[in-house]
Amino acid sequence: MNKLAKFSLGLAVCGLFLSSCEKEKTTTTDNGATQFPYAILTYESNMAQTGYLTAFSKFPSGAVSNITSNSLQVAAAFGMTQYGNWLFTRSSNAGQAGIQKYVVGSDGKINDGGFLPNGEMFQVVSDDKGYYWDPTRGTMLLQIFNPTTMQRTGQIDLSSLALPNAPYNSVGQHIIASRDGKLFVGVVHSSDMGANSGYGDDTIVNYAELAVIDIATDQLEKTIQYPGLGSLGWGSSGNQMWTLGDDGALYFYATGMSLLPPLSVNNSAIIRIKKGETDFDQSWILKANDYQPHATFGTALVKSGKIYVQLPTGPVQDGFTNLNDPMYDYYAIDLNTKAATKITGMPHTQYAYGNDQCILSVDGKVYLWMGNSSTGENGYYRLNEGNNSASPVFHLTEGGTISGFVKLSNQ
Amino acid sequence: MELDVRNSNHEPVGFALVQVHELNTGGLTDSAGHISIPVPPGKSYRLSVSCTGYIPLETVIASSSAKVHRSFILKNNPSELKMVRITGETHGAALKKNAIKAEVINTLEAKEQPSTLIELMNRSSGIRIRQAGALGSNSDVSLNGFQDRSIRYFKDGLPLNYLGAGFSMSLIPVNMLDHVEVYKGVLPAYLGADALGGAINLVTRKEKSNFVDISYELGSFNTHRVSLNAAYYSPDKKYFIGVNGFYNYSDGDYTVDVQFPDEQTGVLRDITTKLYHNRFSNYYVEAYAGIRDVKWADELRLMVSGFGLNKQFQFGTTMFKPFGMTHGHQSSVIPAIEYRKRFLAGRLEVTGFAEVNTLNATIVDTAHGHFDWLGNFTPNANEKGEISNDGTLSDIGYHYLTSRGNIRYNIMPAQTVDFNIVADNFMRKGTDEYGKRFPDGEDFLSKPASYRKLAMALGLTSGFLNKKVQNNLIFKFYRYRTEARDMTVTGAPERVSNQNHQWGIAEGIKWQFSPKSLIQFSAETALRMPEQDEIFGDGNFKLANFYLKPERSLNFNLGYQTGKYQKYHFETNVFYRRTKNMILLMPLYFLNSQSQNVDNVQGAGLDMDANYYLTPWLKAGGNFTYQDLRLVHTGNPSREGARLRNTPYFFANLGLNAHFQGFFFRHDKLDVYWYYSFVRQFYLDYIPKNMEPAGFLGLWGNAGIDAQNIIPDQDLHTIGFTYYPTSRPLAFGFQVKNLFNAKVYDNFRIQNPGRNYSVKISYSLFKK
Repeated sequence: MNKLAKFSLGLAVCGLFLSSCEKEKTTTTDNGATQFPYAILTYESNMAQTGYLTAFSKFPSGAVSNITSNSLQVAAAFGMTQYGNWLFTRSSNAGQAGIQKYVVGSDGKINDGGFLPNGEMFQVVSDDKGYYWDPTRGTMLLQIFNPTTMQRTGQIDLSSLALPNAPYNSVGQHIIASRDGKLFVGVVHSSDMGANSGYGDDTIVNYAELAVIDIATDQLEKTIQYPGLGSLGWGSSGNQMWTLGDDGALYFYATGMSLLPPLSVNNSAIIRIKKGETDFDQSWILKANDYQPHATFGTALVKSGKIYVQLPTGPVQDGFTNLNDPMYDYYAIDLNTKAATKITGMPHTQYAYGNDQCILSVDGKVYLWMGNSSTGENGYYRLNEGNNSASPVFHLTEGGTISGFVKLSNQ
Repeated sequence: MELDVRNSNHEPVGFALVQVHELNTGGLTDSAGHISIPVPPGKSYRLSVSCTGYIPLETVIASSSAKVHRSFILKNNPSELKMVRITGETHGAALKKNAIKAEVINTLEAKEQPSTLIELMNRSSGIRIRQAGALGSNSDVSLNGFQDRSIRYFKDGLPLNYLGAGFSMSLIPVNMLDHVEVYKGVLPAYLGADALGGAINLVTRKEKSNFVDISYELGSFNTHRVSLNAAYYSPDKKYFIGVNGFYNYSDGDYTVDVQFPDEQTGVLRDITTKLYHNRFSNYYVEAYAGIRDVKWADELRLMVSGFGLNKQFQFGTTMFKPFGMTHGHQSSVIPAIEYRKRFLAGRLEVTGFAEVNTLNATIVDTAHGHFDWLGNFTPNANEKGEISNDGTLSDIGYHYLTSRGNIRYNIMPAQTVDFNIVADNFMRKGTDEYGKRFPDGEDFLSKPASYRKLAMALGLTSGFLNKKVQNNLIFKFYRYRTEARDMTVTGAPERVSNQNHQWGIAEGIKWQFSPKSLIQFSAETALRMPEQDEIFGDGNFKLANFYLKPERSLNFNLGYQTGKYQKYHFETNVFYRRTKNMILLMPLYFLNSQSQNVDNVQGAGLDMDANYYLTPWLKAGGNFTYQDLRLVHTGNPSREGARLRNTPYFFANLGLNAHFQGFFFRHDKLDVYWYYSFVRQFYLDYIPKNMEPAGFLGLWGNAGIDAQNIIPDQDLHTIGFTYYPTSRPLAFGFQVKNLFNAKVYDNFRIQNPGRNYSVKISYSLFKK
């Protein structure tokens, strides 16, 4: 029996459990079968260039190198996501655009688990089912694949959702989320900006829109809209731009970024679909501008009645010239009162960018990414939820800037 | 008297001296061994016949009738000198021994071979030219580890920019060139350019006699290459006209191994298929006429060149994605004038050159869909183009005005001053229906962008100790000015201009300590000025950077060479380079990129080249190059000391050349050759120094990390022969490249052709 088949069998056993927690940003505590359950993805100078993917047997601590004999050198490191014992990135290790699956071997080596060329935003909903967007097949088509075999198995035609007056329409370009047997897929109506179409140029409509699809039947059930916002998500990296809270609600980020001149940030917000519901909670919105004008949300974690976010110390300037400056602090915001408390004990950090695990929970503890090109800090801090202070856990000495950190779960 | 002189093989003996003693007259036989001497009839005459290499002959002939026919047989004289060998140096050989050394590729020697210029150059030490595909594909020169814009290209001492792709090294037939000079590191004064890592000067043939040289080559992949070079001089040699031209065509449909996505499952599977959209054709014609040796000019030459180039694009920078419709075109007509005059009894020489042209370049990338490797097309409105999703329909005019002046003055026999100045004016203007626009809707390319550059050099060449020691000292000055309309990061239009100037200095010294041996040392503070697109960006997401500094490099070269004519030749060179502020395109902000001074590189290298005549007819040769160039002062522990990425660091060549005379027939000639080329695998990306292959100098083994993006070891064998039949001036060449059909990659994931064949027929006729 080959490795893939073994993993498939293991995944099938755990499938039922996992189907209720598709978004594994909050990882499980069981790592019994995985000897190298932690993985770090880094990039050297920017996400489009060389990086390293390394698995670790223990939770990294202190000074850590991300270049070891187990490391896989990758041509690009636009962040990663995890499903069970699998890692997914947005390009092959040779740099070809697509969905790349990696499997950590028993020796800690990173092995190729299959590749779907041209795949962009994606979501794995079970061992044998996932959805992805492939613009070369059609921007209004949602592709279906089997993550075990990494083979495309079909597609859902959502062209009926296109607006005739919109030069560009897409589904699943920026957001594909799942929960309780439903798939939530971002719908974009925008101007035609060529290769950048759909990125913050959706001034055709004045609402954020999701298509709700039944996973069992792959049938479109309805579309839902939230007025006054641009489209949700930003599909250019491994950052999925949504999170599943421990309250069972799905939280989506509207970045507020526009690639139309003057390339500015406006009206960024986080909105949600509460547990058990399939429509937006129109009564709740977290607006970035309430805390800092021209701020943008790119990462969040919801735990114990709080939402943890990054906020800049000043406005993001036109042209995004300071977007990646080390000027962000972490905040704990009360979900009800929206009162924000700054996390202390750590210096400013940079924008989350493609790091889907910028704020993550591992074994019940909250970890915060720290990347500061000015001070050279590059690692994670652990949050003391009691007093909203953080202290360093590990920092990288080699391999570049972190663009992903996950704990694999047992399969 | 009609006399014929022949040798013991009954072959005519030309230039035999025939004397009639009684009349004190005589003469030399012609090439047919014949001479006609008028003598009064009815008498007997004593004749003597002599010729070098033969035993003299004396005889008496009675001239009884009006016409006497006689033949003489001269016997060989084994004790007499048969041949006088006069040895001299070609211009190329002399350059090789200059204080600032040039690697010289003798293209004339190989003009009957169906070899490309790139193949010839790759057989030399320290030079590696990588190609991305077949005829017409991009080529990238690496000299001692420097690549891309660090290397400058010249044609007869002039910067080549104005000829665009029309005179690319991958296209020029070797027949057209006299030789190629390759400067690795330090440039002489007469090459006026800001070259950081070296220069390549393509020196065309300038025969001083009437000649015709035609060749036709037929190769695999429906490749046809034709060249014509001819010149005519008036009987008094005062006027001349000539033409140089070539035409290339290839379907480029070689077989490649690629990954093909299954339509249903999306799974990539390996397939072997032929390229189907890789056709290339181009022509280049240069007609000239001139006048020589008149009071006001030693030579005035008027030239008109024209070229056209059509290229299909089958793939981009990798073979991940095939293209099926994208194509490009370039063309230009280039009038030029060249003047040369010596004054002061030849001690002062002035030369000048000027040209003006517009180079038109179009790229059509409007597929509105995508192709697969089998040529199937899938329409897709979202994919306007194949190279980029945005598509391109660009039509750009590049306007050039290039001039060069050179003054050389011999202060005294061993002291020469050179002053060289090159002025380059460039302006870009065009349209692109699919391209970027200013906020007011105007096409970004419709606004002119100009770039003016001046390169000056003042050099002193001095000879000492009867010219056994030669010294070159050169001061250089560079200046540029740019002006364009650009957009800020927020998309607002702005008019920008920039200028800069810099100084450089070069020094070279040679010591010929014996007739056979010499050493050379040279050093230069070389620089490369930022170019127009690096300063101004593209008005889109590639941002301007007005604060770019020139790339600077401190280059040292030390060489030794020794040799004995027709016996052996050996040379070795070591170099050291310290380069800072190398300009690279870096991502910036959220989605922009910008040219920035980033990398500092330091390192040394060694190359050796040796030739040895195993027998008078069999020559063996080989060379290798090892270069250890590394990043320094990176501030990044995993990059610090890392070997330069995507750069070959060890490569070697071996060759055997056999030369046979009288192989099939008495006067025929046969040259047979075998060449082997090896390039050690190198990595596309930086490998941390502590994770490099552990083998000696990194020559074997693999990286300590799982680094799969490798340009693998390259083993390439080439065999061929050239046959010169008795009835010269014809020559036939045949060559098999990549004899063992190895998978060859010069660039990451771009496969080069497998085994391929070519034949070439050449016709060369010279007349004094």
